[in-house]
Amino acid sequence: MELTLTPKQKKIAGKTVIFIVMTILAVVALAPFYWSILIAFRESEFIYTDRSWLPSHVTIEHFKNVFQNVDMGRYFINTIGLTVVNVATNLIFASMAAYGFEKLRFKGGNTIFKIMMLSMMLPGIATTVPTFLLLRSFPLVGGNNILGQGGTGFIGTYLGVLLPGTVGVYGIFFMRQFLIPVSGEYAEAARLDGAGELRIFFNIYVPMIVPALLTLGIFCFQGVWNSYMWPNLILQGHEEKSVLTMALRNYSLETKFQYGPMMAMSVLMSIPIIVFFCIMQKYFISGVAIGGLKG
Amino acid sequence: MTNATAKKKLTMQGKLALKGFFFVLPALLFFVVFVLVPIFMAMFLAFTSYDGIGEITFVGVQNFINIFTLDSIFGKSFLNVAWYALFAIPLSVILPLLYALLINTKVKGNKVFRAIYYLPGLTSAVAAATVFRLVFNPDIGIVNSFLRVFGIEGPQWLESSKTAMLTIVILAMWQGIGGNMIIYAAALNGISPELYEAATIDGASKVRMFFKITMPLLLPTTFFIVTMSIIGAFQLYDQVLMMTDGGPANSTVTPVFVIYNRAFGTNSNMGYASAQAVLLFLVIAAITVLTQRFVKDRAY
Repeated sequence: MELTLTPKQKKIAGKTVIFIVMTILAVVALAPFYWSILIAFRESEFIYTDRSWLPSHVTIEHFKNVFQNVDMGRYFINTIGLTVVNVATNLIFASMAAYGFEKLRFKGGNTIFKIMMLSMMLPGIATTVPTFLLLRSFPLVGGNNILGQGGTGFIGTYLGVLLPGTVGVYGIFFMRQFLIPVSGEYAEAARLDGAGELRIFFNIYVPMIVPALLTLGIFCFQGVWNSYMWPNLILQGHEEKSVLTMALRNYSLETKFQYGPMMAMSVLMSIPIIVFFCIMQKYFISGVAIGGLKG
Repeated sequence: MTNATAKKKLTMQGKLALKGFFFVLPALLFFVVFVLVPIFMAMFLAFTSYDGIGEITFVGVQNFINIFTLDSIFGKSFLNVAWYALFAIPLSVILPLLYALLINTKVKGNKVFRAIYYLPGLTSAVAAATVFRLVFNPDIGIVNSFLRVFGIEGPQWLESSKTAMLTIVILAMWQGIGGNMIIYAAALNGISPELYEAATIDGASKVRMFFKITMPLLLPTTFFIVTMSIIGAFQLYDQVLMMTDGGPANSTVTPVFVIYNRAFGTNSNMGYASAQAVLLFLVIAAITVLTQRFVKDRAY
C-alpha cells in the first residue's frame, strides 16, 4: 500500500518526530538526576547487589546520616551570605564604573577600560598564588604588623574569599553595554536642576537598567554558588566557615566516597538552586542569551 | 558663545570628568590591588624559588629550564587538555546548535524542554562531578547499566586512562549544552525572517539556506562559544578533582590542577608554580589571538 500524506499530515508527522527527539534528549538530561536520587534512597547493602532501575529497598538513612554528620544549615547560610555580599558589591561597583566610563567620560578612561578588558584573557590560576600571598601579608590585619608579618592576614576569613572578587571586569563591560544606548539628556536636565551625580545615577539611571542588573546578579550568584577552589584555599581548616561545595568534598572524603550518603548530599545541595531557577527562570535564560550576544 | 559661557562649560566638563573618575575609582582600586599587582608579583615569583614559608630566593630562568627539560607532568597536562578540547570544542558548537534549532521550532512544550536542558548547568561542578562518579561507575552506573540492556559490558570508565578524560568531556557537555543552546537560540531569533523568505522565493532548499544564511550569520556567536570553550578547557579543575583526582596514570591532570598542587600541595614551590602559570597564560593568549585572526579572515 502506498502511503500518501497531505501537507498538513506531513507537518504533524514532522512535529511528532521533533517532539519525540526532544523527549529523548530530556531523558538524557534528567537521567543522572534520577539515578542519583534512586541511589540516595537505596539501602547501603543493596546498592551494589540490587541493580533495579526502579526504587527498591527504599530508605532515608543516608539523608539522616547527612543531617547527623554535616551541619547543612550552617553551610547553606555561609554560602548564601557570601553570595549575597558578592552580588551586591559587584552590582554596585560595576554599574558605577560603567557609568563613569560611559556617561562621564574622562581623560584616560578608555585606556583604563581597555587594560581591564585585556585582563579577561588571564586565567584565574595565574593570579591565585600572588593574590593568596597578598591577602596573607596584608598589613595590620589578622595579627599582621605594619609590614604584613607575624599573622595570617585575610586567610581563614570571609573577607579573604570576597575581596578579590569584589568587582569583576566582565560586569563592568556588561553594564557598559547597557548604558551605551541610554540617552544622557535626563542627566543633563537633572544636573541643571542642581542634582548631585550620585543621585542622578541612583535615581535616574539605575531604575532604567534593572533588567541588566538582575541578569548580572544571577551571573555572579552562579559564580559564587558554584565556586570551590578559591573558598577552599582561603577557608580550609576553618570547618565552621565552609561553603556547600567544600562540605560536599569533605563529606565525600570522610565517607570514603560511599554512594548512598554522597548522593543524598548532592541531591540536598541541588534543591535550593533548582527552586531558585524555577522562580527566576526568565532572568536566568535572558541573562545567558544577552551575555552571549553582547559578549 | 561668549568667553564666559565657554569657560563655564569647560569647567563643568572638567568637573564631570573628575566625577567620572570617582565613579570608576572603587573598581579601579580593586583592579589594581587584586589583578595588576598580582600579575607583576607572578612575573617576579616566576624567577624565584619559594616554599611559602621560608626565604624567597632568586633563581633566574631556572624554573623555566626545569619546566621544559624535567617536568613531564606539566607537558602531559597540556596534552590532556588538547585531547579534551578535540572532543569538547566541536561538540560544544554542534550539540547546542542542534538543541537550539529544536527548541526554536514551535513544538508543544518547548519552553519546558528548554528549562530541562538548562537544568544540568545549574548544579555546581563539584556536585555534578560527584553525581557523575556514580553515572560512570562500571558496576552500578547508569551508563553501563544501559549498555547491559544491549548485552554490552561497558568499560571501566574512570579507572582506565583511555576513557577517564572522555567521562570529563561528557560531564562538561551535560553541564554546558543548556547555556550555549540559549545563546544560539537567541542568535537564531535575531536573524531576519526576510532573508529566508527571499531565499525561498529564489528556490533555495532548507539545507542550503542553513549553510549559506544561518551558519555565516551565526559566526560571531560561534566564535564567542569556541573562545569560551577553549578558555574553559584550560581552566578545568573542580571536575577533575572530584571525578578522578588527576588519575589514572595522570591521564586527567590539567594545567590548573598541576599548578595548584605545586603551589599549595606537598613539596610546595610557589615560584615554580608561578612560572608554570605564566606559561599557561602565554599559551591561552596565543590561542585566543590565533582564533581571532582565523575568524576575521573568514568573516570578511
